[in-house]
Amino acid sequence: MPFENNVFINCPFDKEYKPILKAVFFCLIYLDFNPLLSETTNSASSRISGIQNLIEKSKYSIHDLSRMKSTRKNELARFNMPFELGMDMGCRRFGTEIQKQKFMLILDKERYRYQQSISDISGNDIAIHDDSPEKAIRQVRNWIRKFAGDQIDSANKIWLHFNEFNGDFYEVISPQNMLTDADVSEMPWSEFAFFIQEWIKGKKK
Amino acid sequence: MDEQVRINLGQLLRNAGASGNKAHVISKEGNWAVFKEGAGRILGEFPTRILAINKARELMRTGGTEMIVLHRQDGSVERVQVANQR
Repeated sequence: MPFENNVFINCPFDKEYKPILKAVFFCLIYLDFNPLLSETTNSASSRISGIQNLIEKSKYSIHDLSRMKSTRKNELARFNMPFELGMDMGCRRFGTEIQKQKFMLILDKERYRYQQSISDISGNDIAIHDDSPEKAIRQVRNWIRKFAGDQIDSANKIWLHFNEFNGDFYEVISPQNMLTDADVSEMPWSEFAFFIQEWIKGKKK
Repeated sequence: MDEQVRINLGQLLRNAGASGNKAHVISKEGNWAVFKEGAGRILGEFPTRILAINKARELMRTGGTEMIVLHRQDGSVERVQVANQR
Protein backbone atom coordinates (compact mmCIF):
# COMPACT_ATOMS: atom_id res chain seq x y z
CA MET A 1 0.00 0.00 0.00
CA PRO A 2 1.31 3.50 -0.81
CA PHE A 3 2.07 6.37 1.59
CA GLU A 4 -1.31 7.93 0.67
CA ASN A 5 -3.27 5.00 2.19
CA ASN A 6 -1.14 4.07 5.18
CA VAL A 7 -2.36 4.89 8.68
CA PHE A 8 0.05 4.30 11.55
CA ILE A 9 -1.85 3.35 14.72
CA ASN A 10 0.01 4.18 17.92
CA CYS A 11 -1.85 2.50 20.76
CA PRO A 12 -1.51 -0.06 23.57
CA PHE A 13 -1.91 -3.78 22.80
CA ASP A 14 -3.38 -5.01 26.06
CA LYS A 15 -6.53 -7.07 26.35
CA GLU A 16 -8.60 -4.20 27.79
CA TYR A 17 -7.85 -1.95 24.83
CA LYS A 18 -8.37 -4.59 22.12
CA PRO A 19 -12.12 -3.87 21.51
CA ILE A 20 -11.28 -0.24 20.60
CA LEU A 21 -8.35 -1.26 18.41
CA LYS A 22 -10.47 -3.83 16.57
CA ALA A 23 -13.16 -1.23 15.87
CA VAL A 24 -10.66 1.39 14.64
CA PHE A 25 -8.83 -1.24 12.57
CA PHE A 26 -12.10 -2.34 10.93
CA CYS A 27 -13.17 1.26 10.26
CA LEU A 28 -9.89 2.07 8.46
CA ILE A 29 -10.03 -1.00 6.20
CA TYR A 30 -13.73 -0.36 5.54
CA LEU A 31 -12.80 3.13 4.30
CA ASP A 32 -10.01 1.75 2.05
CA PHE A 33 -7.08 2.68 4.26
CA ASN A 34 -4.21 0.45 5.32
CA PRO A 35 -3.70 0.34 9.11
CA LEU A 36 -0.13 -0.27 10.29
CA LEU A 37 0.71 -1.38 13.82
CA SER A 38 4.08 -1.59 15.55
CA GLU A 39 3.14 -5.14 16.56
CA THR A 40 3.43 -6.17 12.93
CA THR A 41 6.93 -4.79 12.36
CA ASN A 42 9.76 -7.13 11.43
CA SER A 43 11.11 -8.67 14.64
CA ALA A 44 14.61 -8.78 13.13
CA SER A 45 14.92 -5.00 13.47
CA SER A 46 14.80 -3.12 16.76
CA ARG A 47 11.36 -2.07 17.90
CA ILE A 48 12.15 1.62 17.65
CA SER A 49 13.46 1.41 14.08
CA GLY A 50 10.35 -0.60 13.14
CA ILE A 51 8.17 2.18 14.53
CA GLN A 52 10.23 4.83 12.74
CA ASN A 53 9.70 2.95 9.47
CA LEU A 54 5.93 2.93 10.01
CA ILE A 55 5.95 6.66 10.78
CA GLU A 56 8.04 7.40 7.66
CA LYS A 57 5.73 5.52 5.32
CA SER A 58 2.35 6.66 6.71
CA LYS A 59 0.62 9.81 5.56
CA TYR A 60 -1.93 9.41 8.35
CA SER A 61 -1.61 8.44 11.98
CA ILE A 62 -3.83 7.82 14.97
CA HIS A 63 -2.29 8.26 18.41
CA ASP A 64 -4.37 7.01 21.33
CA LEU A 65 -3.24 8.51 24.63
CA SER A 66 -6.06 7.01 26.68
CA ARG A 67 -3.78 4.51 28.42
CA MET A 68 -0.80 6.74 29.21
CA LYS A 69 -1.74 6.90 32.91
CA SER A 70 -0.59 4.10 35.21
CA THR A 71 -3.41 1.98 36.59
CA ARG A 72 -1.62 0.25 39.48
CA LYS A 73 0.07 1.54 42.61
CA ASN A 74 3.80 2.23 42.16
CA GLU A 75 3.50 1.78 38.40
CA LEU A 76 5.04 4.50 36.25
CA ALA A 77 3.09 6.24 33.50
CA ARG A 78 3.23 4.64 30.06
CA PHE A 79 5.38 6.86 27.88
CA ASN A 80 5.41 4.88 24.61
CA MET A 81 2.32 6.50 23.10
CA PRO A 82 3.28 10.16 23.78
CA PHE A 83 6.87 9.36 22.72
CA GLU A 84 5.72 7.93 19.36
CA LEU A 85 3.38 10.89 18.88
CA GLY A 86 6.40 13.17 19.38
CA MET A 87 8.42 11.24 16.79
CA ASP A 88 5.55 11.52 14.31
CA MET A 89 5.24 15.27 14.91
CA GLY A 90 8.98 15.58 14.39
CA CYS A 91 8.71 13.68 11.11
CA ARG A 92 5.99 16.07 9.94
CA ARG A 93 8.00 19.12 10.99
CA PHE A 94 11.47 18.10 9.82
CA GLY A 95 10.77 15.40 7.22
CA THR A 96 10.54 15.49 3.43
CA GLU A 97 8.02 17.62 1.54
CA ILE A 98 5.71 14.59 1.32
CA GLN A 99 5.99 13.91 5.04
CA LYS A 100 5.04 17.51 5.74
CA GLN A 101 1.58 16.57 4.38
CA LYS A 102 0.96 14.19 7.26
CA PHE A 103 -2.38 14.25 9.09
CA MET A 104 -2.77 12.99 12.62
CA LEU A 105 -5.63 12.26 14.97
CA ILE A 106 -5.02 12.18 18.70
CA LEU A 107 -7.48 10.17 20.77
CA ASP A 108 -8.07 10.26 24.50
CA LYS A 109 -10.82 8.95 26.74
CA GLU A 110 -11.75 12.15 28.60
CA ARG A 111 -12.02 15.71 27.38
CA TYR A 112 -9.11 17.99 28.41
CA ARG A 113 -7.36 15.20 30.37
CA TYR A 114 -4.28 15.47 28.13
CA GLN A 115 -3.81 19.09 29.25
CA GLN A 116 -2.65 17.86 32.67
CA SER A 117 0.25 15.88 31.23
CA ILE A 118 0.97 16.92 27.66
CA SER A 119 -0.46 20.40 27.16
CA ASP A 120 1.99 21.10 24.31
CA ILE A 121 -0.36 19.28 21.93
CA SER A 122 -3.23 21.75 22.43
CA GLY A 123 -4.46 23.00 19.09
CA ASN A 124 -4.16 19.62 17.38
CA ASP A 125 -7.04 17.34 16.37
CA ILE A 126 -7.91 15.70 19.69
CA ALA A 127 -11.01 13.53 19.88
CA ILE A 128 -12.60 11.68 22.78
CA HIS A 129 -13.83 8.08 22.63
CA ASP A 130 -14.91 7.51 26.27
CA ASP A 131 -13.47 3.96 26.00
CA SER A 132 -16.31 3.13 23.60
CA PRO A 133 -15.54 1.30 20.31
CA GLU A 134 -18.67 2.86 18.79
CA LYS A 135 -17.46 6.39 19.61
CA ALA A 136 -13.94 5.52 18.42
CA ILE A 137 -15.37 4.55 15.02
CA ARG A 138 -17.30 7.82 14.90
CA GLN A 139 -14.21 9.90 15.72
CA VAL A 140 -12.02 8.12 13.18
CA ARG A 141 -14.69 8.31 10.46
CA ASN A 142 -15.29 12.02 11.10
CA TRP A 143 -11.56 12.71 11.00
CA ILE A 144 -11.22 10.86 7.68
CA ARG A 145 -14.14 12.83 6.25
CA LYS A 146 -12.08 16.02 6.67
CA PHE A 147 -9.64 14.92 3.97
CA ALA A 148 -11.60 12.21 2.07
CA GLY A 149 -14.72 14.33 1.53
CA ASP A 150 -18.44 13.84 2.10
CA GLN A 151 -18.83 10.72 0.00
CA ILE A 152 -18.00 8.24 2.74
CA ASP A 153 -20.38 6.05 4.73
CA SER A 154 -21.78 7.39 7.98
CA ALA A 155 -20.34 6.33 11.33
CA ASN A 156 -23.68 4.66 12.07
CA LYS A 157 -23.46 2.50 8.94
CA ILE A 158 -19.85 1.51 9.71
CA TRP A 159 -20.85 0.54 13.29
CA LEU A 160 -23.69 -1.66 11.95
CA HIS A 161 -21.31 -3.31 9.50
CA PHE A 162 -18.71 -3.82 12.23
CA ASN A 163 -21.30 -5.70 14.30
CA GLU A 164 -22.42 -7.65 11.24
CA PHE A 165 -18.81 -8.60 10.45
CA ASN A 166 -18.31 -9.77 14.05
CA GLY A 167 -21.36 -12.03 13.71
CA ASP A 168 -20.01 -13.63 10.53
CA PHE A 169 -16.48 -13.85 11.95
CA TYR A 170 -17.86 -15.64 15.06
CA GLU A 171 -19.64 -18.13 12.82
CA VAL A 172 -16.82 -18.78 10.32
CA ILE A 173 -13.66 -18.45 12.42
CA SER A 174 -14.63 -21.19 14.85
CA PRO A 175 -13.62 -24.66 16.10
CA GLN A 176 -15.85 -26.34 13.49
CA ASN A 177 -13.48 -24.93 10.88
CA MET A 178 -10.45 -26.54 12.57
CA LEU A 179 -9.28 -23.45 14.46
CA THR A 180 -8.14 -23.46 18.06
CA ASP A 181 -8.98 -20.78 20.63
CA ALA A 182 -5.38 -19.53 20.30
CA ASP A 183 -5.75 -19.26 16.52
CA VAL A 184 -8.57 -16.81 17.14
CA SER A 185 -7.41 -14.93 20.26
CA GLU A 186 -3.81 -14.56 19.06
CA MET A 187 -4.56 -14.01 15.40
CA PRO A 188 -1.95 -11.73 13.78
CA TRP A 189 -3.37 -8.35 12.76
CA SER A 190 -2.32 -8.92 9.14
CA GLU A 191 -4.46 -12.08 9.06
CA PHE A 192 -7.37 -10.27 10.69
CA ALA A 193 -7.02 -7.55 8.03
CA PHE A 194 -7.24 -10.20 5.28
CA PHE A 195 -10.51 -11.55 6.72
CA ILE A 196 -12.01 -8.07 7.01
CA GLN A 197 -11.06 -7.34 3.38
CA GLU A 198 -12.62 -10.60 2.17
CA TRP A 199 -15.84 -9.91 4.09
CA ILE A 200 -16.03 -6.37 2.67
CA LYS A 201 -15.56 -7.70 -0.87
CA GLY A 202 -18.62 -9.91 -0.32
CA LYS A 203 -20.58 -7.05 1.21
CA LYS A 204 -19.85 -4.65 -1.64
CA LYS A 205 -20.72 -7.16 -4.40
CA MET B 1 -2.59 -20.53 10.15
CA ASP B 2 -2.07 -22.73 7.11
CA GLU B 3 -2.28 -20.74 3.83
CA GLN B 4 -4.96 -22.95 2.28
CA VAL B 5 -7.09 -22.78 5.46
CA ARG B 6 -6.73 -18.99 5.43
CA ILE B 7 -7.89 -18.76 1.80
CA ASN B 8 -10.84 -21.11 2.41
CA LEU B 9 -11.95 -19.15 5.48
CA GLY B 10 -11.58 -15.91 3.54
CA GLN B 11 -13.92 -17.30 0.89
CA LEU B 12 -16.43 -18.31 3.57
CA LEU B 13 -16.30 -14.78 5.01
CA ARG B 14 -16.75 -13.28 1.57
CA ASN B 15 -19.85 -15.44 1.07
CA ALA B 16 -21.11 -14.52 4.55
CA GLY B 17 -20.64 -10.82 3.78
CA ALA B 18 -22.76 -11.21 0.69
CA SER B 19 -25.54 -13.30 2.24
CA GLY B 20 -27.14 -11.08 4.90
CA ASN B 21 -29.75 -13.23 6.65
CA LYS B 22 -29.22 -12.55 10.35
CA ALA B 23 -30.81 -10.17 12.83
CA HIS B 24 -28.54 -8.44 15.35
CA VAL B 25 -29.09 -6.99 18.81
CA ILE B 26 -26.47 -4.26 19.21
CA SER B 27 -25.49 -1.38 21.42
CA LYS B 28 -26.21 1.98 19.84
CA GLU B 29 -25.44 5.35 21.40
CA GLY B 30 -26.37 4.21 24.92
CA ASN B 31 -29.47 2.29 23.84
CA TRP B 32 -29.98 -1.17 22.33
CA ALA B 33 -31.10 -1.68 18.77
CA VAL B 34 -32.28 -4.45 16.47
CA PHE B 35 -31.26 -4.49 12.86
CA LYS B 36 -31.71 -7.00 10.06
CA GLU B 37 -28.92 -7.52 7.57
CA GLY B 38 -29.82 -6.17 4.17
CA ALA B 39 -32.68 -4.02 5.52
CA GLY B 40 -30.32 -1.05 5.69
CA ARG B 41 -32.05 0.40 8.72
CA ILE B 42 -32.65 -0.09 12.42
CA LEU B 43 -35.90 -1.99 13.10
CA GLY B 44 -36.22 -0.70 16.64
CA GLU B 45 -34.31 1.08 19.38
CA PHE B 46 -34.85 0.34 23.08
CA PRO B 47 -33.61 1.61 26.44
CA THR B 48 -32.72 -1.91 27.65
CA ARG B 49 -31.09 -4.95 26.07
CA ILE B 50 -33.88 -7.30 27.09
CA LEU B 51 -36.49 -5.22 25.24
CA ALA B 52 -34.31 -5.36 22.12
CA ILE B 53 -33.90 -9.14 22.49
CA ASN B 54 -37.70 -9.53 22.79
CA LYS B 55 -38.15 -7.57 19.55
CA ALA B 56 -35.58 -9.77 17.77
CA ARG B 57 -37.28 -12.94 19.06
CA GLU B 58 -40.63 -11.64 17.81
CA LEU B 59 -39.02 -11.12 14.41
CA MET B 60 -37.79 -14.72 14.48
CA ARG B 61 -41.22 -16.07 15.56
CA THR B 62 -42.87 -14.35 12.61
CA GLY B 63 -40.31 -15.73 10.14
CA GLY B 64 -38.42 -12.47 9.67
CA THR B 65 -35.08 -14.12 10.43
CA GLU B 66 -33.57 -17.54 11.06
CA MET B 67 -30.80 -16.36 13.34
CA ILE B 68 -30.27 -13.73 16.03
CA VAL B 69 -26.79 -12.55 16.98
CA LEU B 70 -26.59 -11.06 20.46
CA HIS B 71 -23.73 -8.58 20.75
CA ARG B 72 -21.95 -7.09 23.73
CA GLN B 73 -21.61 -3.34 24.13
CA ASP B 74 -18.21 -3.42 22.36
CA GLY B 75 -19.67 -5.10 19.26
CA SER B 76 -18.27 -8.58 19.97
CA VAL B 77 -20.59 -11.59 19.92
CA GLU B 78 -21.97 -12.99 23.16
CA ARG B 79 -24.01 -15.78 21.54
CA VAL B 80 -26.10 -16.75 18.58
CA GLN B 81 -29.68 -17.97 18.68
CA VAL B 82 -31.07 -20.07 15.85
CA ALA B 83 -34.80 -20.56 15.10
CA ASN B 84 -36.34 -23.56 16.97
CA GLN B 85 -33.41 -23.59 19.40
CA ARG B 86 -33.70 -22.15 22.88
